[in-house]
Amino acid sequence: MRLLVRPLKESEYPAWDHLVSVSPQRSLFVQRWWMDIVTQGEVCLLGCFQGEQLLAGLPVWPCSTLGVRRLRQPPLTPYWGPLLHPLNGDDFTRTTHELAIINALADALAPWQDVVIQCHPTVMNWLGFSRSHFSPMTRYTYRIENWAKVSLEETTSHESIKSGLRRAQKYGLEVQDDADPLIVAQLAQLSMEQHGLKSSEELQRFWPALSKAAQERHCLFTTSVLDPDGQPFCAVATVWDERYAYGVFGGYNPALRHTGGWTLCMARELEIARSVAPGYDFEGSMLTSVEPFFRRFGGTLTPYFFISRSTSWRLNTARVLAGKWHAATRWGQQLFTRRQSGSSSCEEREGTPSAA
Amino acid sequence: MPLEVRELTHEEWPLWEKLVAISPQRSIFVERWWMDTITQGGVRILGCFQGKRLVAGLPIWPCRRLGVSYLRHPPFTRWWGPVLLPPNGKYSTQLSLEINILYAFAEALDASWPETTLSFHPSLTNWLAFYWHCFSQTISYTYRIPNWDSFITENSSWQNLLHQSLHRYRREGLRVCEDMDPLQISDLPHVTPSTPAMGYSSDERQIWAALVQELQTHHCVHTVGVVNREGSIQTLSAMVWDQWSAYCLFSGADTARRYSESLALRISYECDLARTLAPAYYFEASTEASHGDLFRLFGGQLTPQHQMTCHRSLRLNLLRHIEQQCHRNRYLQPAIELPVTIDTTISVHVSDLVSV
Repeated sequence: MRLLVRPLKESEYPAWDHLVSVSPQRSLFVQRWWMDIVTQGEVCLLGCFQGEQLLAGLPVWPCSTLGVRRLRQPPLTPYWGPLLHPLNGDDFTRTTHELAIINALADALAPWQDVVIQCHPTVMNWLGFSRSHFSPMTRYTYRIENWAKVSLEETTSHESIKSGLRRAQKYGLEVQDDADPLIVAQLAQLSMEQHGLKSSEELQRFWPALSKAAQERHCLFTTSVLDPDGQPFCAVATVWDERYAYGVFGGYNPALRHTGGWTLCMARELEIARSVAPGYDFEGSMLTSVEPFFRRFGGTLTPYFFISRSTSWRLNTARVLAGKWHAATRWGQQLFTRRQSGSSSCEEREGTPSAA
Repeated sequence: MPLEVRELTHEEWPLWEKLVAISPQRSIFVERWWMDTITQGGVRILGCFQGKRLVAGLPIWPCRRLGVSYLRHPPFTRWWGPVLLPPNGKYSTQLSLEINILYAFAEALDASWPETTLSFHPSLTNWLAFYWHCFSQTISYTYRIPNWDSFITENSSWQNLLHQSLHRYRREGLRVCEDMDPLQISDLPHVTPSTPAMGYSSDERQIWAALVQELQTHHCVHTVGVVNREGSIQTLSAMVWDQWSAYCLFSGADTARRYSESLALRISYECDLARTLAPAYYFEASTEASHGDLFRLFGGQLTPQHQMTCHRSLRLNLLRHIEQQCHRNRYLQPAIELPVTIDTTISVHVSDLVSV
């Protein structure tokens, strides 16, 4: 088996499209229009050839930070990584070919010192990457594999989901379909700030183009929940392909987070997702505060590999420094907020007798 | 009902034995006699109770090194991690219980020991709770034959080829011997420890001698060796088994001459033997690519398993680093030729990639 890895030429893009249509790792996120938008046209498609036949592909996004060549995982793209043509033969032949292909693709990443790849859940063999000094980590998402086996009632049968829906009703929250994608972006920014995460500017920049392109291809729906004054409280954007719908982007107003609106929004999203794709991917988070919320909707815990290689001391040092700076800033902000709330509660306390 | 984690008293050991008998994580490595021998009586069991019911257990081996108390992973023990009751009831309820149990264990370990190493049984693929307690995770692979029926049917084409080679090796003077002294394994120059511990210290030699005695008492050890025409040992391995699986535990080889041939002969004989002993078989844990090729050739299926580590002691981290540097030179792996060569020549156009 003689393998050759090289970037695809434009004339070979139809071969990529064919690979994307048959590979077990296929998803919306490896379709060319999606990759073009999220990487702002900088995606490079590596092909692994046996003779003239394209056996596998790997999309990469080459960037440079502090003069270090790196490969990034694009935002809003949960799965990236190798796409393999369905392999024939017995278990031995298939695994051996899979290893050889992944090994060849991993070797091809040698020019980049800093690489991050989030593989599709069907890639459960990282041995090929291990030989090129990559490190693996298992991450999880929640998936409803087949709506035929799960009823909508089952997804909302958990007691905390029911109580969330009751709360939403009590607060008079209402669901609105086809929300403006820009509202989704605004609310996403708000909730990211609430979690102390810096909102990605590039994400805000390309979201309008991405949502427009997805709308044109009829694979986007947005749902928002409005408070009684008609103000959007939370919103979610979902995209889909022929196998799964993905809750790809969303956010909420932190001031109203205990009103059950987020639960209402998810319940509605699942209702619509059921009608557009056979499965649903929650794009689960490993955050302690977020993971239990997704778990309650009854998805199956699905592992996938996060593979990385960071051999650049410059980037590693910068990361450590940035982490320290971020922690110090957060600590400072918390201290400031605490002092502010302390002084305001003092003022309140001082004012209490007169109020009484 | 809340979960409580505490150490099992001596009177509560029968509860552990009952748990092990029905758990999906059951194996010879969590049998009481095995743990007692391998830890020289130092094993303790953390039990996770729901009311008065033992829902899970975790064996631990507290040790002390450089004044730091830590949990050691015993040698020759492939899996050393949580043992849970079999899943029962709705998936989401079961998953939540599993996460809560693992969370309780991770919390207990995190609170008391700055250094921990665990290897999960392949049936346990959820490490979220340990992630939340800042454990690091990596994935290692083992090869197993889950049942012998698939072994016979699925690999027939490769097996024919292999058996021709094996026949030739026998003609050339290699001979399989049974029931050799297991202590001879450690005298061979190239030892493959089936544990995360690197190397084979004098302490481990003592443990191995004690374990061999105990295994012989329980009639669950078998050695398979290959000797050449002159009668010198080429390779020798020890296989242990319980009612569920057989495991190639530990092996040694003289890599100077005819290593690949003798290894293939040994594995072939081991498979034949394991088939008569247990419904499933685990090959020796080795990450060498050539070993993997050979295991697959004999019908082994790649099986991932999770390893958790928590290294927070500065002193032990420093010592570990020094030890690793020493072992790096000691355990340089020899090149091995397969009985069936698979041409996986890879050519990468690096110049093309650099221009990307």
